Amino acid sequence: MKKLILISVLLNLGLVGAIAYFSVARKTQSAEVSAENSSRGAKLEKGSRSGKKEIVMVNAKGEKFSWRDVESEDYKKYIANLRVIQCPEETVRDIIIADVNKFYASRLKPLRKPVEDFKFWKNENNWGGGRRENDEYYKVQMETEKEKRELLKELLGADYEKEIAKQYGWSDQSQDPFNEKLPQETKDKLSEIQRKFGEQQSEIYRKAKGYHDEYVQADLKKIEKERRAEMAKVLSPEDLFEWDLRNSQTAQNMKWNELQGFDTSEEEFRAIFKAKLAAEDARTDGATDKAAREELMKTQKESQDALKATLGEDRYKEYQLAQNWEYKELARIAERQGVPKESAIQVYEMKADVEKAARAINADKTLTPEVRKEKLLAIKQATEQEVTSSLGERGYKAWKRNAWWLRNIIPPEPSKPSQ
Amino acid sequence: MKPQSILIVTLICNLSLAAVAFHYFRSNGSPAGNTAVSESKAEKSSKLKTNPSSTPTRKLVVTNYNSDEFTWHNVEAQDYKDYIVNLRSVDCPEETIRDIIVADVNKLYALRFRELRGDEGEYKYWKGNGSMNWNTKEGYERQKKMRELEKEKSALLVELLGIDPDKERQKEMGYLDYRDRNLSFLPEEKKQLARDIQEKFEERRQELYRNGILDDEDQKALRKVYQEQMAEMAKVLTPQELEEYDLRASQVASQLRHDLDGFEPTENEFREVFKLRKAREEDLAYSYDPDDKEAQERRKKAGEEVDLQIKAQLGDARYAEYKRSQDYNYKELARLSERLELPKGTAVAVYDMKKVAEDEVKKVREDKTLTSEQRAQALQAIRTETEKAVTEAMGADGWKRYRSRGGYWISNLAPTPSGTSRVQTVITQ
Repeated sequence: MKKLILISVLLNLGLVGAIAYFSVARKTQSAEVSAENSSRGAKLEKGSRSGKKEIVMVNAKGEKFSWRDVESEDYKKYIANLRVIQCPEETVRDIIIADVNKFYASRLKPLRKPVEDFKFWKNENNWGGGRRENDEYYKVQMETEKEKRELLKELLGADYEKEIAKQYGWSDQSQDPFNEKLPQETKDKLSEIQRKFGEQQSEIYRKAKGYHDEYVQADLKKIEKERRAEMAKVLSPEDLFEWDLRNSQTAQNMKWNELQGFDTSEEEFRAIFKAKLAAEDARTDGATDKAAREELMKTQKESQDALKATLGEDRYKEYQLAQNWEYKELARIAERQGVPKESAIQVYEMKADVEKAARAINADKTLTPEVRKEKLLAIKQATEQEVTSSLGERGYKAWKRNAWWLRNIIPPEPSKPSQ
Repeated sequence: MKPQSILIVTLICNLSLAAVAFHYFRSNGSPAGNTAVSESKAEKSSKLKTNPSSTPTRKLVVTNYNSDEFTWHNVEAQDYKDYIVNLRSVDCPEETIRDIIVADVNKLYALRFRELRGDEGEYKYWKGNGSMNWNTKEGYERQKKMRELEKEKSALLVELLGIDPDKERQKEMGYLDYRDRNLSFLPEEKKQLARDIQEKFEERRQELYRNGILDDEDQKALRKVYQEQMAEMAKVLTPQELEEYDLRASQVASQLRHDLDGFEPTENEFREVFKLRKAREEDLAYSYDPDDKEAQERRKKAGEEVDLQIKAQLGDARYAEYKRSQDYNYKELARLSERLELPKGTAVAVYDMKKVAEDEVKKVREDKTLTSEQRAQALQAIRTETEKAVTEAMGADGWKRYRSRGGYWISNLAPTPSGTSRVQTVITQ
């Protein structure tokens, strides 16, 4: 019994010691807050409700705690104060990012035309807005975006963007081994290059006002070349390839557009990207001489052969189909009609056979025009029947809307000369 | 005192002191300025905040102590509503409360959105978003669920904060949701009712659009869905309100806005033309079947009849402008003029030149008195003159761009002089 009493007494002493330690530690922390803040807040209120004692949150000076005790005009102080009250780092970031965003948005607001009521008789409002920003707006926007990024980085560190990514559910690219291995300094330089050329690109698009002719395309290509040249100063050729594989427009286009439905493996994606890059590099715009064109065709063929070897015959064929507009539409029709994908492939492949047969008939000089037309008509009808049996009546109707090639195999009746 | 009693007293002391020590330990848990992030709020939320109204609450007001130094633990709560109440009790500004709650709710839902998209695992740079391809049944279903989740998130924000701050910001930026835009003329009390009906039928339309291929049957089905929607809306809207809605939301109105781009109709002109087109909607419907000659003929005839009515309504001069605004050649010219910031009226001037030049060419070609050489010379002269006039109107840069896109008609006025290829002509200019 005595032993138990002794243990209990010792435990009590230990607990008293622990309480004393935490009490001292807390006072030290709070002293930092009070040093930074002027004395603010309401007077201390104690046990005021219906005879019951209430917990009253106080600041280090014993005054009732108020948000004003942490708020500060100076973002750095604001962050420090939030940390002192043990606001989770994630919430600190949320508060600061939102506040900084609002601050910069308020600078842009006066440059935007006020929202007008929807005028249903005007096309500019068709998609809910029309252009409400002028050139000055875009100029200030670029400047403020840069300033904002720098401020947030200074306040919250380089990875503040992760917090934004979390809010929008974006993938965390920092976990990618390639990104992980790049030194922060290199990453910063790359971001700067990206931003610089991104702004130039936006400027081209903005000036184009939706009118994208070959001159706009040429300007964009020029920018892209310059961007890659600057990147090459920061990255080794291998790393530049890796970077482009993840971020270039070609890779993005492959990922989000061209290869939809192809379900690539990493290895296939790399091989396709390599082939595309080789073809792009070989292309010399404006080259009109035969030798340059032949050289280009040779390079393109080589890169396609290399790709075929990597993917294998079957996957290469699927890859080609995945990029073909006609096939894609056929695949959609097949899906809608509930027929297997193979039917779409079969119809797609029919085109080459039909055109070949039509060419042979047209080349046959022994045929009279009437017989030729008859034969071509027979091919057309047989094709239509075949497609109907593959895709069903409704599928056939949907398919024939764009099957101009089939209608064109029969030459049109010669028009009567005008009087 | 008996040893047994002493033991009981010391044990009670043990428990009391342990409780006090635990409290101190919790509020002093991490040192000031520690950047280590506690368990992500969004993660906690995903476990605990699925139903804000039923989760356990932690009130700021308790009766154990006289006073306590403030830490974030005192305001944090598992229930968003309590969290907001607690933040208000320490005078946290409403704007900051919104920032905190919106960020937290966004993160909570971002996890669910990622789950739906199927990209919650590690980052794969070679993977696009195939799972969301709405042309596939699976992708379409996912998108549908995304829309539902988006609605759920918005409803939660409205419940907590009284508004959806994301939507408010969009509104301020001028990006008004087209659904709200179509209903903006309605009195407040009717907006939600009409919106619910609109959304219900929107789902049915999405199902038809899903395949990306609209055939004649789909077009008919779309019109039927809209008619049913209007019938249901008629139960809550007056005939006049219904008409106003039609002017904003119908397919006919949407097509008309597109067609009249560049015509700059007055409100009254738009209403009149809309009425005439709407009355013949079925006949004017485009047929997707290239072999359906009957449908094509019906459309052509209806188009001519409606045009006559429009002409009578607008008058000759405005009718000519109405027709011009729908000509693809004019639309391209107008876009280029806007892009190059050419003086107003340039597009019309060049468009008129086209008509004059083509009329001249027709006359020359039909003139039997001319020899082939004279005809070629006359055509060449028209072409040269037209090129000169267009260059003067649009500037050298404008002409260079126009001839490569839209301005091909000038080359058709007369053959390019022999020995000069089209490529060379473009390069030398």
